[in-house]
Amino acid sequence: MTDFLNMGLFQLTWANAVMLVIGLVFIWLAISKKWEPYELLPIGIGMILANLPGTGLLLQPQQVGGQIGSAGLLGIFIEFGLLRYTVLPQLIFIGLGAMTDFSPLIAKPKLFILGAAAQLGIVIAFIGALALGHFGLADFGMLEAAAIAIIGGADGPTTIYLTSKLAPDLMGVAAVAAYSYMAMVAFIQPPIIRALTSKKERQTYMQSQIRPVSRRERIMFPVICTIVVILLVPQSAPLVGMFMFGNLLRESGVVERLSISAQNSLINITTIILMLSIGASMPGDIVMKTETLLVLGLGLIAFAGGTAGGVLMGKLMKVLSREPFNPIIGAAGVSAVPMAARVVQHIGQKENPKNFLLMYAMGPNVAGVIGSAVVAGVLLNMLG
Amino acid sequence: MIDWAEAWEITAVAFGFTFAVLLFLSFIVILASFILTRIPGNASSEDRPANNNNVAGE
Repeated sequence: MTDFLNMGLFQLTWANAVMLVIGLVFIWLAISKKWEPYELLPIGIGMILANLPGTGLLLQPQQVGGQIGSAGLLGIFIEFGLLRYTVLPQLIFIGLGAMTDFSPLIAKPKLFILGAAAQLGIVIAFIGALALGHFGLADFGMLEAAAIAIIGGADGPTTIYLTSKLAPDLMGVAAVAAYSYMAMVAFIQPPIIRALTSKKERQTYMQSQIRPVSRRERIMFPVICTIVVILLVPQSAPLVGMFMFGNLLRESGVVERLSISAQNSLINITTIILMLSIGASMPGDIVMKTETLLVLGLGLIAFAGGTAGGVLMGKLMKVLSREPFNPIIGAAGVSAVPMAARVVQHIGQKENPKNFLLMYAMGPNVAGVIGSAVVAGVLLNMLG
Repeated sequence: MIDWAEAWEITAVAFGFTFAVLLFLSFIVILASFILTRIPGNASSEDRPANNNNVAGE
């Protein structure tokens, strides 16, 4: 009889129940709406598994004193993949690098500036989170503020990497916020772009074609980025180093099997484990707090601020540029590859059917990935 | 208690330094492209090496 009463049903709290519903919603969004399905589907099932009581799946090896066989699979993933060694986001970066074409950025290196300007959202959210802490609305210190702010980088693996280092309790919520806002780029960015630009600016036709980029340049780019960025910001090495390594696999042309593996098997397997772990990092008692709503709100502000920063820098570049320059491509400076670039293309073509801004927008888009990894490295250096 | 002076310093350094790094990177890329496109040779070749079956060391 006692064993019967130990069943999970009687241990279920209201917080667990709410998280079960949210997990189901995520699975529904992934399947029915195709919202970031590669992320939201495993996160959803991870949430459900984490909130079913008494499973032992979340027991981490260190919590059971290293007893062999006592830890749970998800606990092992979380402890070794995220909290202790943080290998999972770094492995994802190898795959992302192998999938990224830097040609638009190599052809137009000035687009780096838009990727840098779009990091404005990170600093806005950082100050915003600290202000909430200052006024007693939340218990956010410097570490939590930095972890929340990085959501504005719109880069899932970078968000996971930084939060796991600085504020592990926020990791799950921050990651979900980052991926959710990336899925909602098409709703978040257009009003901001329209508010900050005139119709005439959005209609600007960029005449010059992007020049072809030689294989030699494409090979040298990841090598140069690795050396320059890591010399300047050593703490960004786990992200930038792996990102550029993956890209070198792609561009070298001599290790096709490794490149294909990084683009497919490696990133797919790592995505399964990483997203399952992220979902499992959200047991109800940790997530069901007022702070969670504040994190989501600040993440949205960070995302919007990044978009605004990119567009405003685009307007400045339009003034300074001798060639026609459409400022809306700055909005693609928030990473969210390639969704943000597609939003820019869609708006640009809607305003002027002759416009084809996708290749231009891909420049700041991939520069934003490098930019958010650099910001993460700088924040780690100062706060880690 | 939040040390606002430190907070603003972190904010300024994080944004300013990132901006400087990317700006510097753009100059290096421009310089590298300038040099690489002037080195003689088949720079735009998409050719792969004839023998791509070397598995030693993999």
